[in-house]
Amino acid sequence: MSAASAAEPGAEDLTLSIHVPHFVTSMLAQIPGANEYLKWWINLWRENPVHLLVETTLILLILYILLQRPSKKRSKMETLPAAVAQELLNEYEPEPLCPPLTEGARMVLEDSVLLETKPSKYTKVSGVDKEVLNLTTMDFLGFGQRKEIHKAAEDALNKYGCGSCGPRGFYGSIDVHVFLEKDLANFFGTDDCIVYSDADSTATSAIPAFSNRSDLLVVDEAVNDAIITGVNLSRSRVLFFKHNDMEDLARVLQKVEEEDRRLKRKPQRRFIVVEGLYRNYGDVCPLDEVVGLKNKYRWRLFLDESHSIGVFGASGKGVAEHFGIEMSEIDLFVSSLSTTFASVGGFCVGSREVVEHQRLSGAGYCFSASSPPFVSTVASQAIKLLTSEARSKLAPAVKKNAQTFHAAVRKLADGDLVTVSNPSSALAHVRLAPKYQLAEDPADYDEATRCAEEKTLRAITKKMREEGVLATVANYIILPDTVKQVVGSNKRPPLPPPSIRFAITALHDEDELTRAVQTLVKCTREALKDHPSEAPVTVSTPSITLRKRH
Amino acid sequence: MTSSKSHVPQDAEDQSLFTAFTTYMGFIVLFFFGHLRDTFGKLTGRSRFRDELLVKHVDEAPLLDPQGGAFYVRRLKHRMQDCFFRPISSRPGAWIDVMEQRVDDNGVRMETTGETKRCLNLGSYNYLGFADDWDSTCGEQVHAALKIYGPASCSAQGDAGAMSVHRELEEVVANFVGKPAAVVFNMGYNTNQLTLPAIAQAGSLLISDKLNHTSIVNGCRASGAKVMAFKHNMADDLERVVRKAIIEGRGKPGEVYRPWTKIIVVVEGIYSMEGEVCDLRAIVDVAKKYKCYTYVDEAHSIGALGKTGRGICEHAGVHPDEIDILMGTFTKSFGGMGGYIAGSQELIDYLRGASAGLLYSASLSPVVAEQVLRAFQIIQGEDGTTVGRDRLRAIKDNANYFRTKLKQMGCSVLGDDDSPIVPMMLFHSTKIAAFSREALDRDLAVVVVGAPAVPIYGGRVRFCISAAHTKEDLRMALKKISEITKVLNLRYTRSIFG
Repeated sequence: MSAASAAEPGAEDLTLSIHVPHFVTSMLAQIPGANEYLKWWINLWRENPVHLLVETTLILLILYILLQRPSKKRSKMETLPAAVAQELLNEYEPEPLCPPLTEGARMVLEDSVLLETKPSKYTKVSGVDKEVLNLTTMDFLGFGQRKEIHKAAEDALNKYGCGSCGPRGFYGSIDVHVFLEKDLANFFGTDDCIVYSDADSTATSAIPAFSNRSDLLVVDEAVNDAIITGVNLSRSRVLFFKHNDMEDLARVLQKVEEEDRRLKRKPQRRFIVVEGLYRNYGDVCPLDEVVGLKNKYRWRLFLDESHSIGVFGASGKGVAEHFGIEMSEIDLFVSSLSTTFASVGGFCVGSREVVEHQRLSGAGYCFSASSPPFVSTVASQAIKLLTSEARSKLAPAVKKNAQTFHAAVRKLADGDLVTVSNPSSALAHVRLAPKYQLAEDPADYDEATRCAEEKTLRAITKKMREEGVLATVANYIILPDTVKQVVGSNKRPPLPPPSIRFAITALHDEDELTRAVQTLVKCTREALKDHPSEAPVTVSTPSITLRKRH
Repeated sequence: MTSSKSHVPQDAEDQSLFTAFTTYMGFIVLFFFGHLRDTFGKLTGRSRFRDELLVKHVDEAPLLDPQGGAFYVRRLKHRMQDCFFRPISSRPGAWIDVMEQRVDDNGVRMETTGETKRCLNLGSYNYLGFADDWDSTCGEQVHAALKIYGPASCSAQGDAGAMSVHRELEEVVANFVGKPAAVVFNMGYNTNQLTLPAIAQAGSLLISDKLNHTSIVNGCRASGAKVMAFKHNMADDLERVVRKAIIEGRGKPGEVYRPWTKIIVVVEGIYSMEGEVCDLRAIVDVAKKYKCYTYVDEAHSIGALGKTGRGICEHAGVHPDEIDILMGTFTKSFGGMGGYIAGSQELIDYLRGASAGLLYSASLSPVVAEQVLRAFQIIQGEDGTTVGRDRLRAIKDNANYFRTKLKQMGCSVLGDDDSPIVPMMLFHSTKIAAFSREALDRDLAVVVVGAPAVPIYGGRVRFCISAAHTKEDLRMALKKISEITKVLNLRYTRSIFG
């Protein structure tokens, strides 16, 4: 192109007032057809010189931009003198790979419990001589100890061996995985179902599969960590509403609607993200109201029923069934196989569209090996047990036990302890009474106050273990101050307040639960002697126990 | 100990222009007719994807964007949906029963017919063949564990999900890989996804190989740290990236110089789609030179590479102490599930209080833990037999035999010697489906991979070789593959037309 434009005025038989070097014309004379080409160019010039100039400039500009790009940005590396660069390289000293253990992490580490045998109602914990009453395993209906379940596992092991040796896409789809998906879809009355090999990766994969940068999520502050990770991975815009506060949810939705009107936003996918029964609080989401708001503002609903499955609802389908909400109202319904189903993994049930999309876009499904076949047969067997027995025997039993437990805490704790969980919930969270709490609101807990309160709780559970009752303090990731200081704009909601978590199952009886609560109260009284009367003064900058929003 | 050999990049870019042109042409034709059919379907309502195309949304965006991923699924994936997600009804051993499928529901969905087909399994990660003779090698112990511990823990490690078998396994893993401590997770994918955010935060820098697995990519993304990539398996490029990162620091240009709090180099032992062995020696040398930490994902190399199965470190002649974090999974060589992180005692203690995989997720099933424990015993010869040693030799011999023969055939084969993953280039999306079907007709179950898992011109078939394959199996497979390569014109190193 540039050769042509340079040669453009060079034709000798055409009069143009530009001097052309001789070597150009002689060179052109040797190329066959060059003269005709030049004539064409010069004709163009004569017809419309402006046109030609503008176009040539444009072409040159494009060439300039194309050629410019690589060399334009001179990095600091090139501009710095070599000696300075070398000095920077020599001086670079990284921080340790992991920061020193914080008090919170140390407590988690020291308080860890090691089971020496199966997690049945009475189990053996290392370091404690006698058997302890197990109030931690979230096998709410006690399926894990049923011989039918063990038989299912044994048969599958005999037939399929242990592992599946591959992801679902690559011959890791064993027939029992397909059967389990059918069983679950039938149980919930939905079109289809997708099974993940880990409970927490279900929510973490399902949310980003449907929600991306341009979408909007309104999330309850108290949702569990797996959901938060999923929400963050989706890169969607996130708005939090106060835990179980429907007025706040309505306010947020209203605000978004007003923004829509003002900004004339184009449609986006929008999900309200809630848990049926909150893992970190044990309380129930007022799902009827959530669904009402969802329909009023035309949103979609993501629901995690990991800890309500098998316990709530007439046939054990969870809180949605409890409120009489149709499955079609819930766009994304995820739950866990590692609670009531006494197995490992998680699942999402829904329309064919929702499920098929996850088979290609659910990262934890596509890129992970499928679960061992025996895990699936165990879950299938658990569904059989659930449909045949739960309604008549087990679900009422676990409900009654939960109520017994909550009533006993209220009666016996005598102002030392309070429950934050729903009285019918098999997952009970017990906190110190407000007079002992070191902060009022979950958001007010900083690292020091949280650790101080947790310390008392851990002292209680330790004493309880020695007295023969196994319960654990709800563990949360408490990040060290050094990390928190570099954390920038943070959209992780505050951690839930410190609590002791109890998993009540259908296997427990009234005496056992009463005894457990008596032990709890006794140990609490002892531990409270060392409880600080007021919040410890935080030395460093106000530390918020949050994690980086990504 | 095998020394690391010079790395010969043998990427899909080696293909001829002609192949590239025809591959892209193929995609253009698919897209053109896809859109044509979509338009026709929308106008007339006569399409098997009617519901999807004609869906009406008044105020809200559709759940799936009909023009984005959904178009790909509708018009490309559906044409070859029989090639993926083939269910099997047997153990994932050397020979499997593949369940036959037929298109149902007006061509939208596959349904199993109830018939099965006995096929040679060239797709599962059954590297050491524990799926084949499970009863005689692991069965007894695993059944015993089921009786002792029950099928699942139903609780997180940090709560009461840790059982003595988990601790035992953690000790064995730590010893095996040569690190002071280890911790086990329920899922290999989560091991990466939940550990990386625990060790890297805003202010840290993660330098990741371009072709790292999605679990690493998502882990990096979830961490909030800055992520940079270096050219696949190129230590020189890593050095360039590291130097640049240290010199420029983490401030924006013109700001005050602030160094990265830490730099972590993340690589894999064997790259699962390329079958390439990591050039670990050179990469570790660069990392050490510039005081970077190293994180090695041994998902495919642990229990498969190295004379005693100790993975990429043993293979590349790198002492485990030179690596800061060793990660691996139990799905492949060990016939189980889950993953581990091995490192210093401080690191593992820290993770126990900082990794969501240990505090929130339910722990590894004790039955699986026992399976893995048993597999480790066999690999280390602690069961008093030579089974482990023989298998480690067999997988190497089998893989090298298979790779050599494919190369002799004139196929474009990726990856390095000793790697049990042998990918072979197909390039065209149509050949991906055709290869899979031709292979299934000849009783071979193979894994084919197309876009978007690999680049658009990177369609390939991926053979996973197992110690359980006999020489006879492999000879038979090679004979049939030879037939297919003739039918489909796949001998790319012989001729540009295949």
